[in-house]
Amino acid sequence: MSAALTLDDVSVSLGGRIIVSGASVTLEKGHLVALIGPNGAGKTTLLKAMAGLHPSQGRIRLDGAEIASLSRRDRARRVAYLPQGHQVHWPLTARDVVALGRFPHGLADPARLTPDHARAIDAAMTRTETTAFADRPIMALSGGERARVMLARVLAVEAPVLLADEPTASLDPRHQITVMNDLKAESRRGALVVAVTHDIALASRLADTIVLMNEGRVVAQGTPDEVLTDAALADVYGVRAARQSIDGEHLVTPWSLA
Amino acid sequence: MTTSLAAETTTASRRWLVPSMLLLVCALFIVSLTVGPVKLSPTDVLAALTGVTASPNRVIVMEIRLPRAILALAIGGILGLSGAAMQGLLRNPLSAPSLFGAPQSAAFAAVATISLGLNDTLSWGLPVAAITGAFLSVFVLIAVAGRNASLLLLILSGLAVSSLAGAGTALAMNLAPNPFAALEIAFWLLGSLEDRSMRHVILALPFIIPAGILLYSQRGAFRALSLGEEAAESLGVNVELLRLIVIIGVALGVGASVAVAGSIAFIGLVAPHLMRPLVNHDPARLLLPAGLAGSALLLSADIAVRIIPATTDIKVGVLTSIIGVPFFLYLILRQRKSLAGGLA
Repeated sequence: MSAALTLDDVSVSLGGRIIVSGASVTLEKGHLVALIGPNGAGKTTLLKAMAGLHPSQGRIRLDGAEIASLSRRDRARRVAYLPQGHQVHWPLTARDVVALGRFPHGLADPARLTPDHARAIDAAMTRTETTAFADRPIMALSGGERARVMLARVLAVEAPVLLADEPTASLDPRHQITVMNDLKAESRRGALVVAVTHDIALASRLADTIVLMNEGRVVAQGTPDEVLTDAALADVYGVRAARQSIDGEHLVTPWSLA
Repeated sequence: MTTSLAAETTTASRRWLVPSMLLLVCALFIVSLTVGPVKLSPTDVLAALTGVTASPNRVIVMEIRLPRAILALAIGGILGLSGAAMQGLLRNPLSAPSLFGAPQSAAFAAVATISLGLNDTLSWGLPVAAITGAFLSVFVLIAVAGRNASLLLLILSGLAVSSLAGAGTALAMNLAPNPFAALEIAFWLLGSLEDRSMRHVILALPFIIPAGILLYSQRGAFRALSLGEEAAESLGVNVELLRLIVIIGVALGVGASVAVAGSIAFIGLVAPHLMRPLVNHDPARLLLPAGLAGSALLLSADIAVRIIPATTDIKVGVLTSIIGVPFFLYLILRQRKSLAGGLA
């Protein structure tokens, strides 16, 4: 496996305050990476820096190319970014929202699709099972349905790197599993998928790599077993975890205060 | 398959929307040429437009009514388009240049240069001053309200900007050398297309046409902005640049309009709103129909002020405000629930 995204001593400051300092990580193609850490650890800021949305110090390289040197359009084609909160300001139809994923590839008007755009949109909607409500306005969908449409939107970019900020927040358990499974499937197609999450249980089960942040620093990275140690959870979150093995998968559940 | 049937219907109505709006605007344009103290039939108008000999009808149509109709078409169009662009940028159906003080500021800048003796009402300096005023007001508004501005911030900053511009205009009238000058400024501020000549058309169009092209060229970015600024950035939209382009486009359009016709409010609020459901709320597909609806509205209003029997002519800007303000209240009423929760 080769590195898709390399961060070398990356720091981000906002309004004079240092939010992320000295982050160095190497993330590989075909991996689902969970970026975890307490509230305020700098996860979202680091994710935005990876997406090229925040100016940062240090080097962020995408397939060897420095992200700051890429043109906007090139960067948009290579990194898909799903922000927190799934907001849509106008009641567009679900299909029109998904079609926005083709914007970096030059789709100006979703009413005039080329076969390639149509194929990408259909594929993304099929994989997220959103085809059934393609023509419904996004405002009329439930939170779970809307989350799946927003996921289809980033899948339609067909970018080699997909960054998702809390894609499972405020979803019911069924949709949490659906969305994480879709992200896992996308990584198995060869993409690098990085998801910010607070769900340690799902991360411990599904992620190939876990990056643990605390107070603006990356404090650990590796497989779930390597990162989610009792010492790390006590140190970073101040919790003790219950551990279980189900069908050969390791499950880590935050259990009590340390 | 009811869903696909519904989709087909909307696609069909979308395909017919722009041609039917174009037809409506053409019809109103012709009607606008027939209405006035001398009643002309559409055939008279066509004869006058195509005729080569100088008949009285030809003089009336070519020199009095044609400039007026062209200005109504262009100004209504750019106001509708500016409203739709501003709403796309700020992602809010209640935003329009006139609510944020752009026409008031353009008017102030124009009045100030007139009373200082720098410009007369037919010089090139006038649209330039008005455009500068409009640009400054929109720039200050967006700078003060900031990124991801809430409606409350926008409306408060807009109120401050338009109050300041209003106060400045009042001061200019206050200091006017004689009551007639003050009266002239006041009448001009009411917004009217009466007695405009081809000179006014030539003064306004070189600004209005580029403004329209500039705003329309950004349609894809407005659609991407539906997902919020960060998602739009991640899709490759340069949001900073987009903001600047919209400010420049709106300032050019509104400034040039105010310079020749005074302040005509609420077209930018009403026109996009009427068209939005017909384009599935798509902020990109909205632009062209909103511009055409703006033209249709201003042409209609300008026809109406000539038909309504009154001892003095009603100014078209007064009419659009009388219709526009209740409409604005109705929009607020409709959004009351979401506004009450989400203003701040």
